[in-house]
Formats: sequence, C-alpha cells, structure tokens
Amino acid sequence: MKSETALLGPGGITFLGIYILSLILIGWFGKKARKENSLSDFYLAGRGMGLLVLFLTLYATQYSGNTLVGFAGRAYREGYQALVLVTLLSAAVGAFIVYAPRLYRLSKKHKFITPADYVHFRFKNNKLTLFASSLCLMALANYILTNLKAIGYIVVSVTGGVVPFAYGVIALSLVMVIYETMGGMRSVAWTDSLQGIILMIGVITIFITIQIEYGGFEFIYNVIQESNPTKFIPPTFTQKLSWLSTLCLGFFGISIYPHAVQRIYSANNEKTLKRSIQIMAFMPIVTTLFMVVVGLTALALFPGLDRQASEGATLLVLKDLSQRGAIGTGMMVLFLSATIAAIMSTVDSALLSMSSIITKDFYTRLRPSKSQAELTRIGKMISWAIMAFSVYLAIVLPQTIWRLLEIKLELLIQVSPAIFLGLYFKKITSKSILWGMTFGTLFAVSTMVANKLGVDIPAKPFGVHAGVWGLIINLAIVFILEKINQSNNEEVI
Amino acid sequence: MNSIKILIVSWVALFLTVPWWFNNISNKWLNLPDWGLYAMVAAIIYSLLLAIIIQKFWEISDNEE
Repeated sequence: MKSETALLGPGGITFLGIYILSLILIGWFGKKARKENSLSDFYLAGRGMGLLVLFLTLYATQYSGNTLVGFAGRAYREGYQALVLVTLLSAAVGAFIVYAPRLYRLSKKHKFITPADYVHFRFKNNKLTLFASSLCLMALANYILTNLKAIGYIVVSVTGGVVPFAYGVIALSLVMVIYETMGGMRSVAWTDSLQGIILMIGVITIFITIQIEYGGFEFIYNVIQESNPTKFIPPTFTQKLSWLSTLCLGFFGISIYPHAVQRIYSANNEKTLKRSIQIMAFMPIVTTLFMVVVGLTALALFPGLDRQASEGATLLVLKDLSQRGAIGTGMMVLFLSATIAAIMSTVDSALLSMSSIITKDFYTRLRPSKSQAELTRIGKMISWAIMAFSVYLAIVLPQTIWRLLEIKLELLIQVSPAIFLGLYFKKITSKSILWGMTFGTLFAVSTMVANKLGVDIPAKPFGVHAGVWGLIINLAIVFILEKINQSNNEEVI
Repeated sequence: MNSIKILIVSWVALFLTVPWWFNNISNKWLNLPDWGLYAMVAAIIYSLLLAIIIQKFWEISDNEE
C-alpha cells in the first residue's frame, strides 16, 4: 500500500530494503576476511586497503547526506554563492597533500590507530592527547547525531510516514552497528565501496537528467534573472571574507576528521594513498558542483520556499522530474539509495572512529594490561553503546538543544595546529599547543553557544567563522609562547 | 617542492578562488554571472593544480624527513 505522499511504492521500498540488508552480508564477508584479533585489524583493516576500496571509502565518508540534501538546500538559499562548497571540499584534499605523506609514514612505523596516537607520539603530553581526543569525539558525536536525524526524515519521506521517524532511525542504526561490529573497518570500507559507487552514479545521473530535461545553466540563468535577480549580485566584501573563512574550515577542519585520518593510516602502501587522494581532488567537481546545480534548478523551479522547505530542494526536483515522466521509479530508487548510502557510510565511519578513540585513547590508559583481543571486544561493545545512546538522543532531543550541537568543525579545527605544526616544526612544544588549543576552543565555543542562545554576538564576526577566529587565537598563542620559550632558552645559554 | 612550499602554493591558489575582483552588477558569461563562472572555473583549476602537485611532488615531500 503506497501512502499519498510516499516517494516510493512497495516495489521501490522492497528494493531499498534488500539493498540495506545486503550491507549486513558484506559486513559478514568483512568478518570472514579478518586476519587477526587486534585493534589494528579491526579499526584499520590491518592497514591493507587497496586503491579502489581506499578511494571509495574516502569518497563515501567525505560526502555525507548533507552533500546530497543540505548542499542543494544551501544553493537554493544562497544562489551562486554556494559554489564555495565545491572549493570547500577541494581544500580538504589540499590539506591531505600537506600532512598525509609524513603522517602516513609515521603511522606505519609507530602503529598509530587514532589521530591522538600521533599527538601523543609527537608531544608526549597526556593532557594534550586527551583534550585532542575529546574534541575529536565531540565533532564525531555531532556528525552521527545530525546524520541519524537526517536518515529518520528520509525514511519518513520514502514511506510517506508509514514507517515513523523513530522506527526508521532504530532500524537503520541497527543495520549499521551490526555490520560495523562484525568486521570493523574492513566491513565499513567494503560497504562504503558499494555506497560510494551508488552515490556517484546517483549524483551524475540526476545532473545529466537535469541538463536534458530543463536545459541546465541556461534555464537556471534565465528563470532566476526573472524571479530572483538579487542572486546575481556579487558577494560583498564581508561575504568574500566568509567565503575564505569557509575554505579555512575545509582545509583545517574537514581534512582532519578522525575517520579521514584513519583511512590514511589504512592504506596498504604510499602509492595507493597517493593515487586515492589524487582521484579525490576531482570529486568535488562531479559531486558537490552537481548538487549545487540541483539546488539552483530547484530555485528556478520553485521560488519562494522558506529555509525549512528549501532543505527538501533535491526531493522537489526529483518529484518534478518524476511527474514530467523524465525519470521512472528506478531512478528515484537509485537517488534515494544514494542519499541513504551517503548518510550510512558517514555514520558507520564516524561510529568506528569514536569507538576506536574511546577504546584506544581513553580505555587503554586506564587498563594498559588488556590484550588486543579483549580491547577489540570492548571496542565492539563501545560501538553498540554509542549507537544506542545516539539513537536515543536523535529521537528525544528537543530542537533547542539541537541548535547547540551544531558545532563540529569549529571544534575540530582547533586540533589542526597539533598535527600541521607538530609534523613540520620540530622545536614546537606541547605546552604552547595545549594553551593554544584551550583558548581557541574556549573562544569558538563561547561565541557559538552565545549566538545560538540568542545573545547579540554574531556567529561569524566580520564574516569569519567563530572557529576560524578561534584558530587565529590558537595560532597566535602558540607563536607567542614559542617566542617566549625561545628567548628563555637563549638566556639560559 | 617541500611541504611548506606546497602549503603556501595551495593557500595562494585557494585565496584566488574567491571572486575578490567582482564588485558590480554581474554580466552573463556562458549562462552564468561572471563572478559565478570565475568561482566555478577557479574551483576546477584548483582541483587540477592539486592533482598536478600530487603527481609531481608527492615523492619529494615523501623523502624529506
């Protein structure tokens, strides 16, 4: 029985259900391929990922449901200024080039599992390591929660409300945690590979269909010129600063997401890593740019939507294409599968990363004598606990609290000096990095929270994100303390 | 090119992807406002630049320790 508002009929929903359940089968194959019962095997697939799997898991992880749904919504609201999102994700690849080669070599040599393993190796300061781990955990928790919420809304849209929000979140979370705990990173990477392929085909197909059916940029330009001519006005100076600040978040924030760093550790050799990142450089063009075009098409087709309605821009275009007979059920299933795949591949990776951080950075410090097998078992239990708690929060948290949780890159970006400066400046000390991180985080969090609580403080003072101001403060403190340290040392000499 | 130089080149290129030079009402170029076309082409060039840097300099940054 198909509900009036359901995006798919029983056949489409059944196909989608089979696809989702097939992920458990892939997870089982991941378990069978296990080589040893160790943290390295479970969290990094034994550091043996080949080119295709590494590229696809990097791709599927970096492009979340937000890319398919949120980016189109932002393009709807901001018009051509949303083109910054294309460079945002390229900037993350730019950062990989700077830190990945050296970090990869160190991770092979010193058997790192988490990003904080590097921080601890480099600075040998427990407070700094735990602080960096905590910031990573907070960013990942935010990532999981927002994506779980998105998945619930998609299930409601797909089934027209026949499957309620809470049931959708619980069912898909259960699938994710089952295949994740079966084979760890191997299962996650293999499911990511399937999800990455579906995601890429889905995005490219919808882009081509839009070009054929509506006329692409020419149609968009002509219609928006009539209905929304303000969208053609070039960005103001403050908006340009905001553009640059967004690129800063991509370079220093997105690039050091713990699950991205762990994929760098997982490459079977440096050549594989190099090629994967090289291909990743082009993915913003064939993914983000295409979704921006979808959002602009929605703006041309359905002007006047409010912020909440604009978040459904992609689905509106799909529905319109379906009504015109340009796409059939097959393509609708493909695109919805791509959206769900994008979300699941991000959540499973973030979940695995959180589990590894809690197990490796926190638990092993309390119980250093535990064997690798025991730690792996505890890691799996932690995954279940995190998922259960996240599902609970995704279902029950009121909207006001959600607004406070929308801080992730602003936090994560404060960890970047520990990695970038740590890798290239041998004399830099843990003390200056810790103080920089502390004050940068305090500034970013207090500004963001005050703004979200309604205090008259902008989230982007002078167009620059609070997190980027925090990073500037962070770096300034590191610089000043290093100078003081240097002059003290000279006096002693 | 060492990693510090790569960082500088990357940031100069990123800086140039922002449509700083466009302040007036835009003209139509290839069915896009001129500054929108600039941003899009700049994003594509930045991707190409990254691919070239990886191809040419990864090994060098690899052995610089």
